[in-house]
Amino acid sequence: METKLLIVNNGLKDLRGHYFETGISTAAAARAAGLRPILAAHATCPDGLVPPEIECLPLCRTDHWVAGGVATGPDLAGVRCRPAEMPRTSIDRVLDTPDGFAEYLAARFPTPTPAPVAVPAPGRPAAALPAKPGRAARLKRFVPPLLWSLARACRPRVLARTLFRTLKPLLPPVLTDLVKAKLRRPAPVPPPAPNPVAVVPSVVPPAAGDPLLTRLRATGLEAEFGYVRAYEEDLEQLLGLTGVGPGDHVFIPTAHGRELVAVREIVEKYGADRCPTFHLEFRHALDGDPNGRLADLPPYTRAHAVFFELYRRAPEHPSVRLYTDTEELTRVYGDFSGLSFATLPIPFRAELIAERCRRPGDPLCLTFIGDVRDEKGYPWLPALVDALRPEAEAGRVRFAFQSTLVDQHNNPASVAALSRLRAAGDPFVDLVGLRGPLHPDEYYALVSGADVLLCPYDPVTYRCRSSGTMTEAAAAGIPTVVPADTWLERQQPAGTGTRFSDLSSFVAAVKDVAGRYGEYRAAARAHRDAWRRVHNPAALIRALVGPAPVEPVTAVRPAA
Amino acid sequence: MRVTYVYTWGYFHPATCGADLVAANHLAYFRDRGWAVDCVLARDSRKDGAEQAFRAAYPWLRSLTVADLPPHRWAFGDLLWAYHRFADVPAVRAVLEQTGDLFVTNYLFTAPLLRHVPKTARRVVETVDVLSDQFALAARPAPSAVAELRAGFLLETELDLYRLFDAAIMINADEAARVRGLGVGHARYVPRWCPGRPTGTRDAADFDLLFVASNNEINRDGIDWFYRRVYVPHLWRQGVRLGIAGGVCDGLHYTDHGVRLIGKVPGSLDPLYARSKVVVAPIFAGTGLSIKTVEALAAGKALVAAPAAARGLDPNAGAFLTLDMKADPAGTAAAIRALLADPGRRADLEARAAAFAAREFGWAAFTGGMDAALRAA
Repeated sequence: METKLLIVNNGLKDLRGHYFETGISTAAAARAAGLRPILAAHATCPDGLVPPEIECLPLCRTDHWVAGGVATGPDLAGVRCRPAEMPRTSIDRVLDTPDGFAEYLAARFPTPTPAPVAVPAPGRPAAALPAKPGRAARLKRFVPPLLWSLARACRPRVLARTLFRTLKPLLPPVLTDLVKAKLRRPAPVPPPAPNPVAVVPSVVPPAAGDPLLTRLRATGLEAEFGYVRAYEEDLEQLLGLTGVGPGDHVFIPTAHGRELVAVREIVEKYGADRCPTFHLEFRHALDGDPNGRLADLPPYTRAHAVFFELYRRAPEHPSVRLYTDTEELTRVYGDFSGLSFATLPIPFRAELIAERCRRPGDPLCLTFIGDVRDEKGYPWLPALVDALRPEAEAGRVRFAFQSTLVDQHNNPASVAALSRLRAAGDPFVDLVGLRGPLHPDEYYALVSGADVLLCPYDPVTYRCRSSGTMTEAAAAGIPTVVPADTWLERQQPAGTGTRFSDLSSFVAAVKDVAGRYGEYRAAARAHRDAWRRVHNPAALIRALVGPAPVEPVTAVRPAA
Repeated sequence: MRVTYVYTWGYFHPATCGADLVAANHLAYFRDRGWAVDCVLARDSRKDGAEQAFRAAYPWLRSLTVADLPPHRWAFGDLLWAYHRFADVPAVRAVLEQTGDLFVTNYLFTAPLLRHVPKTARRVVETVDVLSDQFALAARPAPSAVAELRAGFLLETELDLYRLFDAAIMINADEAARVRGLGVGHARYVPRWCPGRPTGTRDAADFDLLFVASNNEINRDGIDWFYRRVYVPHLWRQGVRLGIAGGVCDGLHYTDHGVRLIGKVPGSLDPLYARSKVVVAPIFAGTGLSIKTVEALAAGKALVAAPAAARGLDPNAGAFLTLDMKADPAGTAAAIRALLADPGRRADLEARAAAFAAREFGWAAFTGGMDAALRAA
């Protein structure tokens, strides 16, 4: 039987870069390697987004940033599927023991909660109306709302308002104005900016005494409970429906700590011998001072401190393997969590990048690729255009900026920069993707048309993080301009680009590359093949399904 | 021979739907053989008023037990759980435990009742529908891969449950063959018995077209589509009179003067068929057998059916017209108008329909099938 690779990409909802590209490229490479890839996407992923040759199950109700809370999953006709190898009564034995049938059913369908009104059944007449409730039931129905209304009426503010309205005709106008002012509600305080981790309430009711809930509650992460449980349920359902079991692999390409906890719960519930091998890849930076107080850490880092601690309740599990996509992140995550991490290659479809055929005299295309986000340095682009305006007007350079605005709320400087660029309407500035995420064909056309890739990224955020666009540029032999002291700089082969530390050095770096483009281009091309040998989807698949990564050397406690 | 017989929708006499008629077939068979029958019914509150009529129709039953089924939704799992609990209702359990030679039940979701049936008894299920198809039809639309998975899972469970029985009786030959092909060797087609007789058509018929159906979503959707897409644009101006009978009228609210909502018809449908020229069956989904189609054929009516309404019937028998109505509403209307305008062709179709029904759904075909199924069990 063919080995399955279940790629759980719960951020896959649309064509947006990373989630879409990793999902598709990994699935294609898995198939080429003789595996059966199954791509699990977010429940809102539209039918037809993923190419039909890839089996896609939009079953995940949570996404990485828990945006929009827990979504409604597709109708599974009441099925509660559990991992295929879980202990369950065979149909041949269900009648042999008193509980055999119940066990058989419980492995397949949730114990139903009584429906208030029976749904009309196909093939059957409409359901009868429910019986008239008895007296006790009627009291139960009407008394609580009545008490609630009375209690509400007795609140001081409501009481005062009622009293005031009654006495108003008897009071002089000056006095009524004074009372009105006292009773007036204070102006509403604008809601705080959404916290991407913990503000969306759970829709899964917490069970009292649950140790996970207790720990999350103690650290102010109670809202995470519902997401952990929802993810766990979804993953179990996926394992059951797809029959992914021992000998198979589950790859979570953009993992979160809550998902690690959910995986641990599943492994403990069913036992490693009945589970596939789970591969979780963490890609986001753990910002903040690791020596600081837990409460002072940024939400993502704080949440991961707790999730990793929850994972450490038991020794590391051989069927759960952890990764990042940069050596830097691997060190950071390893130190922060105490767990073993390895580094995975970055997958992308290099074959879709066409060879750039630039005619002599054509302007150099300076390209920015990615979402319009502050951390990606989009706000610097108007200044860059201004600084290179003479060269652009002389026809020596032009600009192609991907300008897909996905999160206006959290990127105010980028929104302003985009407005400025649109208002300027310079003929040598091409704003691509204004209407939404780019289709892969458009995206790769943009990459293929680039002469220089601009990565004006925030050096703090990208100190350890990878960059998919930088990876693509290196694979295509395109010179790059990257922030100093970041993963991007350390990956940039010598002579293939320049680096910067602030806006003025960014502009200078771009000018330098444009001025000596031939040299940079030649060096970038020379390193292209070496890069592609490391970062490609096939290498990723080999790393996942090959032997377990070698454990990093850990300090050995000296003998007493 | 002692038989325990279980039926899922309450008193099945007077019949209000196709499943009731299938149950009536079984009891007629047991009665004909002189077998003693303990009958267990899951109460259907809508049919409580039918108790006296039921008891009057079946005074020969050895015992009759009626019990409430726990509340449930229309989903495979919910129904299985409901019957798991139903099996533990003391009165039901007592009957099940005393099953003699044969246990016969309707619908596969009653399988949990087998927990209390002695292993010495032969166990037979009348499936009525391929249930996994039925529940997949009832589910909300889902992305294709998900729909495929859930259907596969339900089918796997269904195939599992068949194995608990010694025989699975199906009323659609194609579905029986399909299930056999999936490894359920004891699945067998048994034609239902339709004891109708040709009614003929009165010279001054009240209805040009007649649709008879119970009140379920598939029937409502079907006739509503036919009304809006075929009748209104292509038949109304021509003065075609459409009669709609049965429980389906409860869900329809037409005030159109060309349409008459007849409602439920107590007793025989023969007089109604006799007052109608052509029977239509615009049904576009479903499993098992469309009982309304077989009834119309047994009544010797000229029938125009959508392919789904003629499922399980030989389309080459020449006993009825099958039209892909949704693909060509105008063509459907034209074919109907042509049939209405040609009494000779109608008479020919009526004769063919009656002969076909007598051959395929007569007493001999039914009892022969039942005998063979029980012998093999």
